[in-house]
Amino acid sequence: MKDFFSCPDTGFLKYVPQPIQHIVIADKASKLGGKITFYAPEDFETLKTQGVTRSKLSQRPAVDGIIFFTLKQFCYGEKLNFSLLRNILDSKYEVHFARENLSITSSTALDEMFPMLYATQFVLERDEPRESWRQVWDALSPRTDFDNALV
Amino acid sequence: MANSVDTEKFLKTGYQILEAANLEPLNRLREEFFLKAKELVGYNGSDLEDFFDNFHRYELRGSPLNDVRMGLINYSTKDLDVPGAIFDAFADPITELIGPDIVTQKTVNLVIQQPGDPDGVPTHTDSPGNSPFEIIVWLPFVNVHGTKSMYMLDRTVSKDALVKFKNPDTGYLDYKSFAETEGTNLEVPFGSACLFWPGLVHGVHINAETETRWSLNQRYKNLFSPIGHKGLSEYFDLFRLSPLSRMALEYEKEAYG
Repeated sequence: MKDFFSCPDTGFLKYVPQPIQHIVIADKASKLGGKITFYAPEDFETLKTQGVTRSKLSQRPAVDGIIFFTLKQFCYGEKLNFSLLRNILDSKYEVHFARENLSITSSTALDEMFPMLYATQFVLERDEPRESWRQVWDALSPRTDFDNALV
Repeated sequence: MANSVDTEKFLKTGYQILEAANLEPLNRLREEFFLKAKELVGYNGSDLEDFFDNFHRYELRGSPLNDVRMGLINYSTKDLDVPGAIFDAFADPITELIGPDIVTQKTVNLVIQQPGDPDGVPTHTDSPGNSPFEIIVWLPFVNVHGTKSMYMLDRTVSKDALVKFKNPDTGYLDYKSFAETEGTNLEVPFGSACLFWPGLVHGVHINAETETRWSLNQRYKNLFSPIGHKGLSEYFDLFRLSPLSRMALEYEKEAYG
């Protein structure tokens, strides 16, 4: 049986509370023939940098891979955090996304998936009303023009 | 019947029934579904059309019927190239409508509508849940007509139907009743498909014919088009890229490490 490290999406807690994210992530682990052995969500302060995930990765946890709640967790920064995905895979861990039901198990697969990852981030950034993510954006990078627009 | 989009007609109605440019991928796909369905219900014969049209003789309803349907959906999603087969048959019209950078829905949708079965899909539009930039390919495995088919409202009549929602008490019933009266039952032989815009109102009557309908519906959209409420990576897989997009994405990837 495989062991996985779970990484819920802190930026999405208002819409999908952590207990529900745990259920979905555990279900994904089960479908992969494994179980969750521990979890570590990002803080609001590290949503952009994914510092908690990086820190855990450097500790070389004894798991087969990491299950994130959603691909969006890699899109909170200026651009898609593709290099972290590469680092995780190069460190011999699998990467899975529960919400998208996606699995990436090698660097080659990551390269093949680049168009979808790129388009997902591009379309989200272009089309999602900023107001729907206000709580997250405010924590990440308050924008003067956006704030003024609401006055 | 044509295999290319009649632009004026499509803009007016929002849908068009088109003939496959190449029947071979559809024949092969239908045969593969037949072989798996035979295994699931224990049929030993070889008459494919008889099996599909008269599937109701197995008297499967509720959970046992859903087990067969889900067995086929899981099998075809995992082991068959349904999006590829449908695209091979309708490549030109699909590409004309959405362009060459294409994503397609991850999970195969199969509907089995037996005579007299009240568990049909309700009157609905696919958008705004789905992106209005998608095209839906509705492909029957049998010849459909009358209530063995689905009904479709064109763009104008769909707008009229959606107005019926104004009354909060009777809105949905008014809308449903209007759609069932004004909708056109599509006549589609096997080897053809209805390509339709997700903003159109459509649904099914209780099948009052003597044969069962088997149909697939597969969505295609442009990789970069707006997503509606259904996320790109959640619901779609990459299907095709133009040479230019392939090149541009390779260029972009260099900046991502």
